[in-house]
Amino acid sequence: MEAGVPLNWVLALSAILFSLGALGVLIKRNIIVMFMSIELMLNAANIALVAFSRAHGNLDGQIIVFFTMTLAAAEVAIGLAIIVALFRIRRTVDVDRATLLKW
Amino acid sequence: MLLKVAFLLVAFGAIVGAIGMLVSPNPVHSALFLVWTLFCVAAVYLLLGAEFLAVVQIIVYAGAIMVLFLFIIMLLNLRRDEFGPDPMPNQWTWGLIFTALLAIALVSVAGAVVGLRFSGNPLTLTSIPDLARLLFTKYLLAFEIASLILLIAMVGVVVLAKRPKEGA
Repeated sequence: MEAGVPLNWVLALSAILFSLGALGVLIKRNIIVMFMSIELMLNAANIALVAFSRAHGNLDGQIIVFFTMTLAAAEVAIGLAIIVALFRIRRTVDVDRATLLKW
Repeated sequence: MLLKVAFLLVAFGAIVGAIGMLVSPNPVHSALFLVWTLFCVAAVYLLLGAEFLAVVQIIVYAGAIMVLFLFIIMLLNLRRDEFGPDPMPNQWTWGLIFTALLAIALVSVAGAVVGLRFSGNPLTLTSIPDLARLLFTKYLLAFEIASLILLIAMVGVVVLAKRPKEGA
């Protein structure tokens, strides 16, 4: 008699969310929405970590998720500052038009 | 049984939110869809018994990070369809093909994991004192480095977003 949600289901949710995030990075042109897709991929990985932490019965996975959230906060702050700097130079957030390193 | 139904509902909500984020042309709507998905992920954490992470997810992700996203979107005053013709019209096709292959691979890996089972009562929550003890003993160095990274990020944001001096 197995109680609760099967591990496979949680991992499948994590896989689907990660694929959707990858899809967003590949097809979107707005750099901010691409950045949101990266956040979605981070969250998918976090779900898998929490699920394995639960399955193994130790807390190390949850600690890693905690650090991932900390790094995601730092990453979002830096990334949005870069986007603001890019927008100030080019007046656009279309990544297809940001093809040169300078100007 | 009830837990399974709840998990399926929450997972469906998360996937619908993610798809809505991808298909909506307005970045503000994308951000709000992502907030919904992040709430659903917090509910998944609760169903897995990680209630501290669920609360942190809502406060940090749905609260701080997404507010930052919305703030930047409104600061840059973005509107829909300002991009003009697409220079790479094939990227939807190839992106969908590549992502479908990735999803098939990942989901089949997830389906292959049958050796592991959740142990114990599924409604038991993680004890926060245990988490804190682990964080401040085994992972103390990582914790301090994380605080340093946050400080560096703060300084970096100020440097990056500062308006350059005239003539500099």
